[in-house]
Amino acid sequence: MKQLGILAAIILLFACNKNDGATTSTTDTSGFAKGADVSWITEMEASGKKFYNAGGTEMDGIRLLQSLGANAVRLRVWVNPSDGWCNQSDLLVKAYRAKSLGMRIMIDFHYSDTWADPSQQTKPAAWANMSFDELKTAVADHTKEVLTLLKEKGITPEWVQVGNETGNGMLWNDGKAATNMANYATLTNAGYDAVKAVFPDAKVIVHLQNGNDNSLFRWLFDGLKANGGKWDVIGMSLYPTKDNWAALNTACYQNMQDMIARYGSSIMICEVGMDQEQAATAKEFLTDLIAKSKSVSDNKVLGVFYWEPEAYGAWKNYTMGAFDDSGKPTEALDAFK
Amino acid sequence: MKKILLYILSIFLFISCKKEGSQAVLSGYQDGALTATATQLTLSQSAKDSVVLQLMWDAGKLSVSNGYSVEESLLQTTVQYALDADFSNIKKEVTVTSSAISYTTAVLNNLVIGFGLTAGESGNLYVRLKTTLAANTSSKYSNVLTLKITPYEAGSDAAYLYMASTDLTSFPWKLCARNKDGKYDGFVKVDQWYNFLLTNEESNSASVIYGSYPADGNQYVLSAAGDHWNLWTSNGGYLYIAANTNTLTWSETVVNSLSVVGDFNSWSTTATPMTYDAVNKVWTATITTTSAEQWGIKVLVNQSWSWFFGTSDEAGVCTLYTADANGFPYTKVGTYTLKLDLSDPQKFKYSVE
Repeated sequence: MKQLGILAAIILLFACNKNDGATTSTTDTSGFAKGADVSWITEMEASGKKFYNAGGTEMDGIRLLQSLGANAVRLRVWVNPSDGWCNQSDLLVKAYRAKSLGMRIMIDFHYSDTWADPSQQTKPAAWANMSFDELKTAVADHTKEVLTLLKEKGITPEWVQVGNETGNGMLWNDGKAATNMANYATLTNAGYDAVKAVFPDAKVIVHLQNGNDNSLFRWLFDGLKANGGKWDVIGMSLYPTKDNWAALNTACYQNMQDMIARYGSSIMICEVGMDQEQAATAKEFLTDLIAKSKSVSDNKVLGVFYWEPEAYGAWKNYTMGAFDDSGKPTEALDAFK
Repeated sequence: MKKILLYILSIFLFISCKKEGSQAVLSGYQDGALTATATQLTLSQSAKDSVVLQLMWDAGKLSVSNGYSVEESLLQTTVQYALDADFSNIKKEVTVTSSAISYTTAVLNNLVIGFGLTAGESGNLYVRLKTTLAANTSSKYSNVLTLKITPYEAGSDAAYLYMASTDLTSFPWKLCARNKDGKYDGFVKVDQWYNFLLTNEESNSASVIYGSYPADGNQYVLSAAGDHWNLWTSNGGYLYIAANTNTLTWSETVVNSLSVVGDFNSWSTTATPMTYDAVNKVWTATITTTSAEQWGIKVLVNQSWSWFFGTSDEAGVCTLYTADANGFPYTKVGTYTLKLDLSDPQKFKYSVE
């Protein structure tokens, strides 16, 4: 009888929901991802930064981005950063918030205590003196530990990046692609297998800088492939200027098609950005890039993520956000609507 | 009983469905679920700038049927802090738009010391979330988190306390703990009966706000609990204010005069008074010398030989002494204006023009 009561309540609840009309900012969680890397947001909030919608009303920054059309977030994680920001619990807080808002989530493993990019792929301090086998285990353990923390809170990332902008590998010098592609492939696979062990359905991304640079992508992914490296999605960054964006978009589009033809991979544009002063041009650039991405057949291009759009007011001296100095979004993000 | 509730729920839901054709139904207003990244914390000054605690919550997402749009700002979320699990004495309430709060060690330490936790001892801080849809509806509350926090020695981090208007919109003066020991002082110029608060940040969301202990006869007792009264001065004028966040007390001394003494005026406590320039917040005096001051000069407060500005290690800076000390250097010969700027008590600056 009790069960019947519950059943009745559930059925009625369903009936209500079914008849619901339009609701505010419903998130489309299928199809093309329009994302924002918001990894700075908790640190910005702690330092007193506020975010406002176009009408000047203060809003939660992630909710604001969602209301502007973003349906996904990208979040980086460092192993043991000196001030704690972007460590695994800070990651959890941001992921939990995004999940509560019904947004899709990408996790970006840097395998470093700080920024990993083409200029530096420094091992975490605690891993510095490890043997290669130990390093492999450390990559797997760290990956599983972070993802398990998310899993315990009911958070399921849709995509996981193994390494950040690894155009020349990661975890230097062991995993430097130019000098030891086999090592890089082995470390990438340690991350890949760890991701699948926790989230079998998550898509693993290997992400390089300069999405317009086809020869870089061919060199790296040919190398990975030759050494048995595994990936599901090829990730790209693209940071053009107001003057060269059209040419870079065209080159990036050709690179996407080549990568799909060459490896059968899906593509994700993991990072884009343009000078915040060039908001109108940035909107054109994004609109064009999204259109080109969507035009690729079989939905092989999964989405576009703006990198730290919420950065404004000389935050960390980064000037390629998409908010103005008063904390309101610029028109660049209109491309997500 | 449960069964009856379910039937009632069913009926209620049924009714809300029936209404839907004509009336909008709001959903998503729920008790928030509050989570912390840590529940046992031993704070350490060496990690003062590191993030140490983050609170996050899911306070729901409002939606309305029938195509009406809903302002998210309708939903007001407040984080409440107390040292008792019943929240009978709420120490602080913060209204937030973000769905998380992050604390660095220093900020959290200031906060809990201000609430009354003792440095070096583990104490309980209770946190919950209050969500309110509109002024005339009842609020909803989250689960209560119990955080066991061991703070470090009070006052050892914040160098300034700001004298704030009671609405926390202006911060005209500041006090400084120059040795970062929780002993703050400084000079202020305010009206008689001026009411104020002392804050650790120049912000209306300062994490520590001191008023006076809320009982008669406690004008000079500091309290950072939410129910404090204002601080006030019955004197007004140019005042020396001292506040001690270790003992939670403060004091005021009326400054009747500043006077310059040296060889040039035969060390007269009355011959060369300084004049206060309220616009520039500086004291000035005209001094005529015939040779460099061999012992330096001093500026006496209230003509006292045991309360004066004298020598310091840094050029252009003088130190406030309450014991014997040398004067500060004065080498100009002729007629010049001595300016003394006491507005930033971290360094009492002087210049000769």
